[in-house]
Amino acid sequence: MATYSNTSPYFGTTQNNISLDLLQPRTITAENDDVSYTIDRIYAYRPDLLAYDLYGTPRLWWVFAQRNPNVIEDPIYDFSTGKTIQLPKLSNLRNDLGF
Amino acid sequence: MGLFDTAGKIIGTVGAVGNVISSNPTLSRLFGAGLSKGAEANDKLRASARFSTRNGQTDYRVRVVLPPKSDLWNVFFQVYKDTIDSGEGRAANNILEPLGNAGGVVFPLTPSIIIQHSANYTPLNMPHSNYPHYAYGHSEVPSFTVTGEFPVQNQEDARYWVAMLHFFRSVTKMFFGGEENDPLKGNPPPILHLSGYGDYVFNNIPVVVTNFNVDLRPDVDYICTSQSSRSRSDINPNIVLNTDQNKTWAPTLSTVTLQLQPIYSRDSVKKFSMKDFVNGRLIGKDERGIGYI
Repeated sequence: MATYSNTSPYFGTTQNNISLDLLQPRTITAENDDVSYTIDRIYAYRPDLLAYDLYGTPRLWWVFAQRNPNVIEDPIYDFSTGKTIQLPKLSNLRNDLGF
Repeated sequence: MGLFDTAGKIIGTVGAVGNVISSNPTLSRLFGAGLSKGAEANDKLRASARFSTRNGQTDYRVRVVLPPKSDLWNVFFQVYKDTIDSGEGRAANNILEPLGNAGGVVFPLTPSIIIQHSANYTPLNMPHSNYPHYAYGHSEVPSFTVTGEFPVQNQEDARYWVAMLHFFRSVTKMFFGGEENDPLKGNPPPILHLSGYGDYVFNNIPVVVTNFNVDLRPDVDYICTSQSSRSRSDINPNIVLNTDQNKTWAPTLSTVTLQLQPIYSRDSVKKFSMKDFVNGRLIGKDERGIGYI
């Protein structure tokens, strides 16, 4: 049995003896004044780098796709130049994910 | 001494902030992306740079544009719309589209301009005289050079740079070839208007480009752009642009040098009035819209 940290997208997903169960998406608070950001070439296909720069850890690479499901389906390959996404606040992530 | 001390401290503080940003890759990336750490909403008021007065009426940047009433406006900036409207079914050429709002090139940074006004006199060398007499010949404003740097920081800037390059290439050529009944055939290169620094320096000065240089340096990065990146499907759904084509590379920094020759038509010269000129009335705000220098 693997143990997932509270910064993992699988933290709330249950496991059986051999595999993970169906993914239980983690909730991220969306606010109207979340910062809007158009992905430029520095962070293209690098959500881990953006997470590291914004939140101090690359383990939160998946939160951008979770916060912007209508823009990003594939968390890495849809993270391309020119797409405008909303960035969740670090304070909200701390409350929602508990890290 | 105190002033220099204060200035030195300010410069030192700004330099220290710059050093912190440049030495920290994370802050450098976030600063470049316009983000702050933690993605918290920035409640501070941001100062905005603008190139105009407070009422936004005037732009003082140096610009070289086609006159708004010129017949060539359609040729330069609306050819792609005509192509689409005519239903020719081929991709439109919108290479000059980034210049469409201004009608020409606006220098992003203040260029270097040295302008000369000369009055020519011919010396009449009288025999057995110590001082020659001078007979006035004529006055002129000889051609002058405009040298400006063009920084390119993103793909949109690169599109503008490519459009600038193509615009100045185009305005150094005459109307030659093409369709049989083209009414413009045989016309010389277009006359442009130079403006900048407000009403009394350059305001709608008619000029022609006699020389155009741009350096493509080997020691700078180049940014890829596409002049046909925008879809035209909103105008005509039958036209589909291949966005993988028309890739162009623009240098992140280049120096553009223009040699401009002020040029006035005979009709304009006939209407010149020395009194009006001295009183500052010939600054491009009359019905003709031509500024005299």
